[in-house]
Amino acid sequence: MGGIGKSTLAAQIAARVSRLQSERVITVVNGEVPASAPWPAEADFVVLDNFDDNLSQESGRWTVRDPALAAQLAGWTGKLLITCRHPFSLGETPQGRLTFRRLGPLTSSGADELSTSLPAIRLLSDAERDQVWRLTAGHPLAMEYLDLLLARGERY
Amino acid sequence: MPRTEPTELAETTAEQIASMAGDLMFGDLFGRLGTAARSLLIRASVFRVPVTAEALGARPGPIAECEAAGLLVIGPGHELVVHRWTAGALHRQLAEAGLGAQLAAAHRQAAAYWLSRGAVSPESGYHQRRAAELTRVADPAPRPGPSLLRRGAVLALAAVSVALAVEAGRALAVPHLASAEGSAGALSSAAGPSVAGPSVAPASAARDQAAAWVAGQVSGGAVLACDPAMCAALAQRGVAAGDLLVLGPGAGDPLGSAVVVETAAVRNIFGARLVSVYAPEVLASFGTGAARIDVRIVAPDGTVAYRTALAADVRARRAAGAQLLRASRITVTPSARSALAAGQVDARLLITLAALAASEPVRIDGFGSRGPGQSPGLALRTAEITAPAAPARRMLTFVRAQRSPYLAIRADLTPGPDGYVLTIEFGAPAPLGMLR
Repeated sequence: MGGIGKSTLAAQIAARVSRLQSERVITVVNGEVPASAPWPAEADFVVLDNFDDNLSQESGRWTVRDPALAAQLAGWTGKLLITCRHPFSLGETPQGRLTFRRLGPLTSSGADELSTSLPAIRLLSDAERDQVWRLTAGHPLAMEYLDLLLARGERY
Repeated sequence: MPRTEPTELAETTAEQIASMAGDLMFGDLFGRLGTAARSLLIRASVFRVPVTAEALGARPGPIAECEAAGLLVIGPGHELVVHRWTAGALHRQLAEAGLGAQLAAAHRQAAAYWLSRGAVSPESGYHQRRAAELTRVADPAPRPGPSLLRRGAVLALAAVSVALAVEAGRALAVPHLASAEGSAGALSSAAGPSVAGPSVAPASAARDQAAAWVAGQVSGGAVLACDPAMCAALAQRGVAAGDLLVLGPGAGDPLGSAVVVETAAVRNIFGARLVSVYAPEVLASFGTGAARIDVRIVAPDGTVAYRTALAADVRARRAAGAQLLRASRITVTPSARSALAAGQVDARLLITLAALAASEPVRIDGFGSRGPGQSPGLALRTAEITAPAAPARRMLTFVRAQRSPYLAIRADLTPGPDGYVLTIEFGAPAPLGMLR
């Protein structure tokens, strides 16, 4: 799901790992991974953000387009964190250690927590904030849009 | 990552709701941006990785405008990013509006940027592929779009809740349109300054006339490219400094602007390229000889693309005008009929008239607002409608409640021989492709 906060979460995880394990060499690659030099050899924690750019869809299934990249991912022994809107396979290559965690919309209490940082929405009553959560389906970026519009005097 | 609390909706349902809400709110946020900010957002939205302002040829004003709208993120290293969800909403709306060509152009610019850097990157290939795909998808043949009256009905529905809250405005006396052609002079003289007397130098007089016309006729928020003296004259007329792009030797091209005011100084900078490459069409012309000043529309994708789009727009306006002429709730004078049938009427007016006709009988007296020396094919941006007092006030309320791009620069009521005359005027330049 786009706009749900995958990249933000990945960035926070990378920052926390960097703080707690300063000896680690962390590399973040955004979007399409270059075939010639995917990431530095010395990296032992790789974050592949917006990995959708490396996928192709065939018969409704999302697959890593470049077999060499798929093989590299399957054989990678360091830590790997990928953000992607779609579950995918490595094609002919076995999945190896890859596992998928789905990041869904915010729960009511999660939306309440986000609301505290949104200047217009946080001024609303509890009932109105609940309505915001329902109207945006707990989507963080949609809540941010709504906050900007409410701050400008729009009414929905 | 186990949840401690369930959501009430299935994730696919939640995604659909969020997408619909996001598209609606994105439209509101995008609709409030000025022309330069919209153009910047479109250019930035095709990039998959953060880029510098230089890569986008962007100036601080539009960047700040997009950031304030929450549609552009500025990173810690001043790099610019449009969130992919935001970009998705923008690209969907451009596609629905038949403006895929703008996206293709943005991808071509992005490909050129990556190629100019010389570094090995998958990005240039990606943008070239996308530009080619979008160009293939674009259908060059004219095709029937959604019914104009249906578009108008949608506009009417969208505006109803806002219209209810807006108070009918005060009446102002304005000259009436006798006919499409005859009105141009009347409106031009109404909008323009008094003509300078013999003691005023011709260049100065033309500059004053051009500044008055631009300040009164060009849409608010449109970026105006001008030489320093012209920009100063426009600022004196109330044009915001942030909407002015000052041209001078070494200042680059006028492509970041919507309109360029071609004075002798600007002609000296760009020579024949101004007309052949950057700004082929004239909105209005003032003065003669070396003192002549042409107010030109900037063609962001070049002269050929602009003229192609303009020709397609005239065809679409003609088809939409024919739809209005068949509508039972619309009556027209012979001059108005002629303008509608010839495709001379601005698309924003056509859609607004269809929206008005959805709830009131509409009698169109005439169309106008042709700038002095205006190029053929450019649209008439003003309409006059006669109605009894109560419907006229309701229509005025409706027109004033619209948002960009349907927000008129002027909407007034004035008493007429058969009731009240509602004058609706849209700003220049008329956007192309709204009726595809």
